[in-house]
Amino acid sequence: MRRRAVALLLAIGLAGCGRSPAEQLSTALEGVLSWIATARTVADDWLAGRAPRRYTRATLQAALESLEQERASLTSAPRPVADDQIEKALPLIERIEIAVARTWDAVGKVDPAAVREQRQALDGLESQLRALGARGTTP
Amino acid sequence: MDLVRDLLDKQVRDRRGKRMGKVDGIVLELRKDGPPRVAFVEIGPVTLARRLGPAFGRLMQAIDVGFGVSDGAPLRIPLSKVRDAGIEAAVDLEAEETRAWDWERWLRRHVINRIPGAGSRL
Amino acid sequence: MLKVVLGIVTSIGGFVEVGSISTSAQAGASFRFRLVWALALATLCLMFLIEMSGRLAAVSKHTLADAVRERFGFNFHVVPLAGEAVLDGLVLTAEMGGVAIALHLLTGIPARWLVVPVALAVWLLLWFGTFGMIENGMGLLGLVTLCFVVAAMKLGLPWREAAGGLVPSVPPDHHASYGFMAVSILGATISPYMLNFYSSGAVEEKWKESDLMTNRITAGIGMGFGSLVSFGVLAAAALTLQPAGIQVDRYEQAALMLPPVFGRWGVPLFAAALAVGCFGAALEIALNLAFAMAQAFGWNWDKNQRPAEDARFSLVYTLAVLVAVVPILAGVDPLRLTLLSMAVTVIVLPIVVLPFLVLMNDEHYVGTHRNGWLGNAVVAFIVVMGFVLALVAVPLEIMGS
Repeated sequence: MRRRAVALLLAIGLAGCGRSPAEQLSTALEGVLSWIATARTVADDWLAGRAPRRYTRATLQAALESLEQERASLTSAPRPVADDQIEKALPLIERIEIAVARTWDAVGKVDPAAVREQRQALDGLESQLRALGARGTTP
Repeated sequence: MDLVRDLLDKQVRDRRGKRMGKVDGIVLELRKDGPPRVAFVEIGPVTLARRLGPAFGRLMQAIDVGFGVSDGAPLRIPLSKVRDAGIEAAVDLEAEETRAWDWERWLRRHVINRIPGAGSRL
Repeated sequence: MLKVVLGIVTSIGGFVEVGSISTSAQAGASFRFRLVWALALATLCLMFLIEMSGRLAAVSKHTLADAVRERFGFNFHVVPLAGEAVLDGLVLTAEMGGVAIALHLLTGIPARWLVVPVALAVWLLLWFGTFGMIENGMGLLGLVTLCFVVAAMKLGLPWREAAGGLVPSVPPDHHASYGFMAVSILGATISPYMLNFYSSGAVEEKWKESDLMTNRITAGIGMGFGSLVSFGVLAAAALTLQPAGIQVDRYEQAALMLPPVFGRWGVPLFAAALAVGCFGAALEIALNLAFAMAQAFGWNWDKNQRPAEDARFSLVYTLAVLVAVVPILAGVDPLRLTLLSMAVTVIVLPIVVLPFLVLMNDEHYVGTHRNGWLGNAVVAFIVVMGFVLALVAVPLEIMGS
């Protein structure tokens, strides 16, 4: 009986490790930044003729799905401390999703001008996100 | 018993050099004068399963009988018919005709040959 | 001489598959060259183990599974056999998923539907093809994976930094991730199925003691060159994805490492390399599972026989392919599945490798070609490392994911 309790505590403790709300936000924002970079890179590649259309759309689709997941994970996170920051981040991520969706659409319509426009929007949204204290991966 | 250790789990080849099976079990003969000696070697999935535990043996038996493959009894070969061939053992039997290949024949008939191309090779 | 060259060529192409591509890409994108040591260590271990498998087969004329059952008895053999079966099943699923994803990258069709024609293709090749056709065919096609090495060279490899990666250096944060990544690289590189498969090939080709030198060369150079391809993936990711801030959570992101070098051929090349590597591995794993079962139970296992002549053998790989399709079809994420199978590999590895400590020192099996102290030390190290990692990998997975 005691052994089971200890094992359970260990499991909870380990699961709890690295999952403080601030860290959760940081992890989620890291993921978001990575996907913004992905969307940006693949859009640039498509504009330069380096990426096939179907692949570009598949990648942007993957970006959308992943961003949605990150936003969902933040929405469901327990929020004692990082409340304020999460509140600011959520609408930003939503706008990022919209920009990615518009890019996906523009690639489908083969509209480079629209892609460039969305790409610039993404740049702006990214700097806003970084202002919230988001950091990317460290080398 | 050296002979048991040497024989058990050894690969058995048939008259044509085909892999017939492994020695899954050994049948000892108890004698009044002298130590027990190996009387037969057995090849069969039920015998093998039983080594893991009697429940496994019964389960394998049920599968054998249930699918209509055999009555579950293993192939028994008298020791005198088993020839030591170095790392393997050889018996003067035709694998295809023995119980050791019951499952092979059953699968061939009921499953493999029903799939197109089973008899061909590119 | 031709045998050696062919052996090495096959090893290069056959080295990278879904596990090594995804772990190397993730490692390079997230940690640049800091995990090169894991790749080097894993390759070294693999070289030793493959050489031992070959030596065992050449001298004892037994494959690994054959030898383990005979020497330790069925009651022991059941354990590594079961582990091998579970692991092979998992990895087979991941590999077929990898081919499906490669096709998805090119066509846009969801991978979970593409896995069905992929599985069919795998099975057809096993059913109708011969061992030689499969091995040589995939070996040659596998050379397309050299595109990663070419990419790394063209991007300008920072030799100093790469060499520095040979020394483990934990980054200031993301400790758990780093640790888990290292474990995954080890699991992706030291694949247990390669050991039995290699020994099966050696027995089938009737290797003798005179082939021991060939064996050593194939094991050393073959695995060495093969791991260079993994290194190429890691380097290309480090030099293109990391600076852009792209982490690899989906395969679509990994493909971005080649367009900078190959322009519009980048994505097709990535897809081709992924497809070929995974397809070849899928064939090998399905075959190995059939070999392992046949050798464990004493069935005939000559791959070149018609299916009707080796019914039990053919049934095993057929069932394996059928079962392996299910998870992907059900929508399980292939990348997650790949990482899971790497973790399971680490747990199964010590059980599969432990018998080597006995077999490679038993003159009944290897005659005068027993292990030296170094060989035994490597095996012991792998066993201990495997146990330790197995204990550590589970919490790491919880923390790192």
